[in-house]
Amino acid sequence: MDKVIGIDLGTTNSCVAVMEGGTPVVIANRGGYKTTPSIVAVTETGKRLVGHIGKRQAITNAENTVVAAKRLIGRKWNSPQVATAIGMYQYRIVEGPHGDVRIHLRDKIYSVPEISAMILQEMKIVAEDHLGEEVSKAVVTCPAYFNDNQRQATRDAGVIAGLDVIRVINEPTAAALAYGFGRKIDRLVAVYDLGGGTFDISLLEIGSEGVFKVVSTAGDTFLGGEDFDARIIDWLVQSFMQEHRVDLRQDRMAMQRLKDAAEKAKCDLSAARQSEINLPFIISTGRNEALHLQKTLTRENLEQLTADLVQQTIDICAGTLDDAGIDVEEVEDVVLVGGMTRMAKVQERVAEFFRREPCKGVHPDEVVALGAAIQGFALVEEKSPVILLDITPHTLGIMVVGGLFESIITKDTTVPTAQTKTFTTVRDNQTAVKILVMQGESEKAEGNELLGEFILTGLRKAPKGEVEVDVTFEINADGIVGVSAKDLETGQKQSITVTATSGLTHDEVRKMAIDSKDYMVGRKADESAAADVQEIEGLAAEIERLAPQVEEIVQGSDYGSEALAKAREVLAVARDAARTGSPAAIKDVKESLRRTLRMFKAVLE
Amino acid sequence: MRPPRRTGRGDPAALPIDPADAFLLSQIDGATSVDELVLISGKSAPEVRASLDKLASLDLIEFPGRGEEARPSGSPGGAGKPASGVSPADRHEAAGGGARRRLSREQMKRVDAYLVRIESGDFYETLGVKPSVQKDGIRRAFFALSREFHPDAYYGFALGEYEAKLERIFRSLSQAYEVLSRPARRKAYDEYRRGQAMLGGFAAVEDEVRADRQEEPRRGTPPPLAVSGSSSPAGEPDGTAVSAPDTQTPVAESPAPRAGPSPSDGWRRQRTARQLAAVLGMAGRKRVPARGVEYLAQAERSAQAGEWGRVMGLVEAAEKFGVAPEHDEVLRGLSARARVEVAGAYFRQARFAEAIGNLADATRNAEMACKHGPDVAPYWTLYASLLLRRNRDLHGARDAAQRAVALQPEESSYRLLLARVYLAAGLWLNARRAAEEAARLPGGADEARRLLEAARRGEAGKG
Repeated sequence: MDKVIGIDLGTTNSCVAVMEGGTPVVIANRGGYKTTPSIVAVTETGKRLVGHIGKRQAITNAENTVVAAKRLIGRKWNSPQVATAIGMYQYRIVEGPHGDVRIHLRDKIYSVPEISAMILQEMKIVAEDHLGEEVSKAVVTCPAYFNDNQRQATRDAGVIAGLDVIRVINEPTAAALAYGFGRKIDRLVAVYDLGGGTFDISLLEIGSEGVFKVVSTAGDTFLGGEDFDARIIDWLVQSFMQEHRVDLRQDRMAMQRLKDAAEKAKCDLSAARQSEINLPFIISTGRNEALHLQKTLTRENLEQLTADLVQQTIDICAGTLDDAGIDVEEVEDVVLVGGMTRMAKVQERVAEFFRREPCKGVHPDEVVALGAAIQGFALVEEKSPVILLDITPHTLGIMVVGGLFESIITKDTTVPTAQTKTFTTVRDNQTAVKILVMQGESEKAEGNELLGEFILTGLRKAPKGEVEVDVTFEINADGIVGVSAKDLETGQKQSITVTATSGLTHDEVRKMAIDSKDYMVGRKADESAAADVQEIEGLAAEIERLAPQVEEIVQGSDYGSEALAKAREVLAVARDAARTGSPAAIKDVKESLRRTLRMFKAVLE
Repeated sequence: MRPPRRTGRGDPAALPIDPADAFLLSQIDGATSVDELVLISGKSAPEVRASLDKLASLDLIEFPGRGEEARPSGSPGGAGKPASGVSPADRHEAAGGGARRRLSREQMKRVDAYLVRIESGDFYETLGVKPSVQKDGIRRAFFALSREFHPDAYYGFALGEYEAKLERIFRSLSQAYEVLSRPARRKAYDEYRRGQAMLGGFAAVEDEVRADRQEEPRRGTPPPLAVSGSSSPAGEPDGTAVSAPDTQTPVAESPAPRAGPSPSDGWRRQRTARQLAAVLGMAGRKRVPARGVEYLAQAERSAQAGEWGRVMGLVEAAEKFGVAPEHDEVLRGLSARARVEVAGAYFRQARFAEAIGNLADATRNAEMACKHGPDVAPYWTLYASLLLRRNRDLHGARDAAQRAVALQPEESSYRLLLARVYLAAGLWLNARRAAEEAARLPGGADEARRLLEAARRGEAGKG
C-alpha cells in the first residue's frame, strides 16, 4: 500500500508527517528541523531556494523572496486582502490574466499555486528522504475558513507539485484528529488555531467510536502572527522615527531586519518578560555614519500593541458558540494550535473565555500535520480507524433577482449533503436562467465569492413567475460541489461540477505540473552531481593522505613509480572534472579514483 | 571549511564595521556555511570572504577547526537510501491498475435494508432509537451508524450505485442528528411528531370512510357518508408543485408513527382520495341523520381522549350526514373546538417545517391551518410570508396578507408584509399605499421607509 503523507501547508511554516506502525510521526528536514519555513526565493543566478535558506537570504533579496504566499492563494486581484498584502510584503504582486494574483520574481511571473507547489514539493522531498521511496499521495490541510476558491487553489498546488492530493482537510479538524486519535474519549472540544496568517475556531464532538464530528467553525483568513509582527514593526519604525527622524521604511534591508527582529522578540516574549531588540548599523545616514536601533520590548508593550487582534479572535469564538447554540460550559477541552498560541496573553484570554485551562498535550506546530497523516491513513486503510464528519464552513447559494444572495446549503452543514430550492422566472417570456453559484454569508450577492456559473435554456415562454426551476446543490465527501438546475415542466436538466476558480485554468495547471516535474528532474541531476563531486573530493583527499606512505613502500621499483605517476594523473583529472562538473566525466573519474584507492590500500597491507 | 561562529567577544557597535558587515555578523550562527552566507547576503563570494576576514580579525567571529578535518558529509535527517527509479506516475498506474475493493454481498444487503428504514422519514426510526432516548444515546447511535455508512468508510472502493446510496443514507442520518441532538429542535420535532399523530387520526378517519365507500358498490346500498376532498390534509392535491427534496425529506412524507403504518400509504392516500372525492361528491348531499349521530358519538369519545385530529374527521362526517336538531349544538361546539385544535397543530407543523428549512411542507401546513382554523391573523400572515418567500402564488399571498390586515388593522407588520407582497408582484402603487399605511402605525416606520423607497424605484424603473 502506498504511504500517504500529511502536509500542513502553513502561512509561515510547513510540516510533514506520516503514519509509522500505527502512530503518526513528524518528519524532520535535512537540517534536522521539524518545520520548514514556507518561503520561496529565486536568486540572481535563477536558483530556487525553499525553506530555511530562503528565509535566511530574504533580507538581501526581499524583492525575490515570497513569504506568506498562503495569504494570497485563491484570492482575487481586487480583494482588500491582496491590497493589504501588497503594502505588507516586498515582493512584486501583480495582476494575473484571470483577475487572479501573480508574483513577479526575477524575470518570471509565477502563480500563487506554483509558489505553494514549490513548498509542497520540498515537503514531499523531506518525506521521500525519510521513507526512502517515492511518495505520490498526500492529505493537505487548509484553514477551516478557506472558501472553495482557496481550497481549489490548494489542490492545484498539489497537482503542480506532482502530488495526488487525496483530500484537503481543515487545520483545526486535523488538530482534533491528532488530539483524539486512539484515545477512546467522548468529548466536546474547541480547537483554537492562531497560526502565521489565519485564525480558525472549530467545535468538534469526539466519540470513542473513532468519530470526529465538526459541529461548527468560524475564522478569519487574514488574521495571524504576521499581523502581530506588523504591529511590532510599526512600533519600532515609529519610535526610530521619533528618535532619529529617519524613516526605516525607505530601506528594504532595514525593514527585513526589523521583520526578523520583531518575530524573534515576539517569540522571546512567550518565555521572557522583556526582549532586547538590538540592530546595530540598521541604516546608514551617508557620510560614513550609521545608526543603531536599540529598544526593549516588554510583554506589556506587546500585549498593548496587539490587544485588538486577540480580542478579534475571542469575538469570533463567541460568535461560533452562539451559532452552534452551545454554551461555553459545555466545551470539555480546548486545544491550542499554531505558533501564536504560545503568546501568554493569547493563552490567558482563551482560558478566560472558555473558563478552563487549555490542553497542554499537543504540539502547536506539529499537530496539524499529524492529523493530516492520520486522515490519509484512515482513508486508504481497509478498516478505517477514524471517520471524519466535516462541515461546509460557508453558505452556498445562488444569485437571485435584485442582486441578492439566496442560500441553498447553509454553513456548518455536515457533508456529504444535498439541498434543493425552487425558483421561478422573473420576466415574462424568459426562456433561460443564469445560475450564478456563490459562497459566503452576505445577503448581497456581490458580497460573496463567485464559484461558477451556467445557463439553463429552453424554458417555456410564459408570464413571469409561472415557470419553475429546481436548483439542487450537492457536496460530496471530497468537498466537491455539484450544482444542477431542472426545469420542472420539461424535466430538462443542466448541471455543473463547480471547479472553483483557483485563478488557473486546467491547461495552465497541467503545464505548470510538467514544468515543475522538469525542474525536479534537473534538480535531482544537480543533487546527484553535487554528491558525486563530494565523493570525488573525499576519495582524492584519502588518496593524497595515503600517497606518502605508498611512495615509501614502492619507492625504487619501476612498477611502483609508474603506478604513482598514474595515480597523480587520475587526481589531476578528478580535480578538473569536479571543477567543470560534467556528469559523464565525473562518473568516469569516480571509478578510476576508487580503483586507485583500492590499489593503494592493497599496497599498504 | 567549517561554518564560522561568533566568539561572543567584543562589542560590534563600538568597532569599525559597516551595516553590511553587521548584517553578515547577525547571520552567523555556527551552522550557516560560507556558501550559504554568500547566498544570504546577496554579495559576491570574495566580498563575503573579505568581510568575514575583517570580522575574524576584529575577534568577533572564528572558524572552528580550520583545516583540521573534512567537512561532515551527508544529510543528518535523511536515511540516505537512494530513490527508486520508478517515477510517481508509474507507481500510480501500478496501484490504480490493481483490482479495487468492492462491497461484500452482506454489506450491500445492509445498505439496501437501511435505505428502506430511512424511508419512514421518522428521525428516531432513522437513527434506530426510541423516542424516549437520552441525548447521549442519540449521539452513540449516530456515530456508530456514521462509521458504517459514511462514504469515507469505503474510500477507494469501486462502489458503483452504492456511492449514491451511502450518501443518501448518511444525509438522512445527519439530518436526523442535527434535529435530535439540539434540545430546542428536538422539542419542536417531538411536538411536530405529536401533531402528525393527531393529524394522522384525521387521515385515518378518511381511510375508514374510504374503506366503506369501496365496499359500497358490492353491497349495493347508498353510501353512508362522504368527505369532500378539500378537508383532507393528505388528500388535498397540492396546487403548487412539490420540489424534489421536499418529497425526499422525511417531514414532507412522514406518516404519523401510529396512524400511518407504511411509508407508501401517504401518496396512495393522496391519489385515491382525489379519485374518490369525485365519486363521493354526489352522495355527500344526502342526509342520513342516524349515521351522523353515530359519528358524533364517536367524535365525543375521541374528544375525551384528546384525539382532535380524529374528532375533526368524525365531525366532518357527521356534518355531511347531518344530525337531528337536538344534537346540533353539540356538533357545532365540538366542530369549533376541533378546528381550533387541528389548525393549531397545522400551524405548529408549519412553524417547525419552516424552522428546518422545508418551506414547501411549511406552506402546505400553513394553508391547512388557515383553511380549518379559527380565522386569526397569525395563520394568514405565516401563510402569506411563506408564499412570498417561495415567490409563488402571489395572488394567494396577497389574499392571505389582506385577510391578516383586515383582522388586525392596527398591526403594522401585517401591512408591511402586504406591501412586500405587492412589491414582489410589481404592483408599485398598491405597495406604496400599504407601506404608507404601515408607516402611520407604531413600529412600522423604518421598514415602511425602505419599502416606500423600493416602490418608488420600481415605479421609476417602469416609467
